[in-house]
Amino acid sequence: MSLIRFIKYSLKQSPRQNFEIYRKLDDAKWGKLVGTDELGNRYFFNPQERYGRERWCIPGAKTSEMDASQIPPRWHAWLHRTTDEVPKATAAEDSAYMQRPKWMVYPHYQNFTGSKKANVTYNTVRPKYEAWQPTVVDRQ
Amino acid sequence: MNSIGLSAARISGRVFARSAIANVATTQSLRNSLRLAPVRAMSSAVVPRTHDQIISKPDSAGEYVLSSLDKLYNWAFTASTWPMTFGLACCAVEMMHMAAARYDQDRIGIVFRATPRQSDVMIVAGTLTNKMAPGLRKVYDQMPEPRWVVSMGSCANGGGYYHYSYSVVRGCDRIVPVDVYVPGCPPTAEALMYGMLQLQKKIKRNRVTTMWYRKY
Repeated sequence: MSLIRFIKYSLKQSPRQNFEIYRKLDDAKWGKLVGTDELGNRYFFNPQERYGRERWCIPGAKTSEMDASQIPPRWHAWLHRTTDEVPKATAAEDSAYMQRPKWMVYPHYQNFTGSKKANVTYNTVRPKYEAWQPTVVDRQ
Repeated sequence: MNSIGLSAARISGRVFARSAIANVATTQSLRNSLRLAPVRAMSSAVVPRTHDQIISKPDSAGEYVLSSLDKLYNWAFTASTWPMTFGLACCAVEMMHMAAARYDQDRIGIVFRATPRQSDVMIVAGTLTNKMAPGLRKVYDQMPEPRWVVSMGSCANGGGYYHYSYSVVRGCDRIVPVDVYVPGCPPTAEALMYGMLQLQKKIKRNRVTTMWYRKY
């Protein structure tokens, strides 16, 4: 069955499209384009797929730079069936999003762990002890 | 003295280094005045290349050859990271979920191996107690190099809920060097999977032949 599905979905698209899907998702996928987010990720929907696989995303990043944290929170909610509401393409079209709390970031950025932009913690309180700083004194 | 040292540091990193060596008092005053500033502010004069940059953008022909060897080596390790299962508490259940059908760790080459002698990664899943700590260290010591450690959950990260208990180690990084910390109590299987993918990224920038002159 899986092979039939693979061939069926592969024949519905061009080889070029299929190549990208195989490369990025390791599977054949075909469905309706639901939307695109600010990072260039494309979101698809196909109700004929198995439960839990009806919604998926083709990342906009290169295969070597793909990361799960590149998906913005509202699209994440849609992908995980938390909500059926589809986020609009731009913030201007989306009145609900315009009233968002200030802490919500836009445009979304990925997890920078391991790169130069990684968060580095530092102390902001007064140190609890005074470090001993030895000095060399010449012999008398 | 303080102002002189600071201005020297601002002019150039080299001047700063020379004055720091020459005058201990200057270093002290600098240290005191810059205590609250992030450490990075001090080292802005010379920006060292990251491991990632050295691996992906080699500078010279020799570096190109060595980093290519490293890439091959890392690629081989990335595709088959066999974790040593160190399930200590409820986190272990989520670790099992990562192995089960929904998240299916097998598709990214992760297979649980019940012996430390043949595993590459150790997932410390759960509360590490004082009683278990020597056992954990022994298992870690039995793993062949290169080896990595993933600390899973609040308890393994820093003691978590049991931080003030008399019988719990306040973080497994007191016993073994940890590469990836997965937060959560317990972290979802999805979070652990993301942690493993982060570890794969870390393995990909591992330097072996380009670091031949030093052990670590």
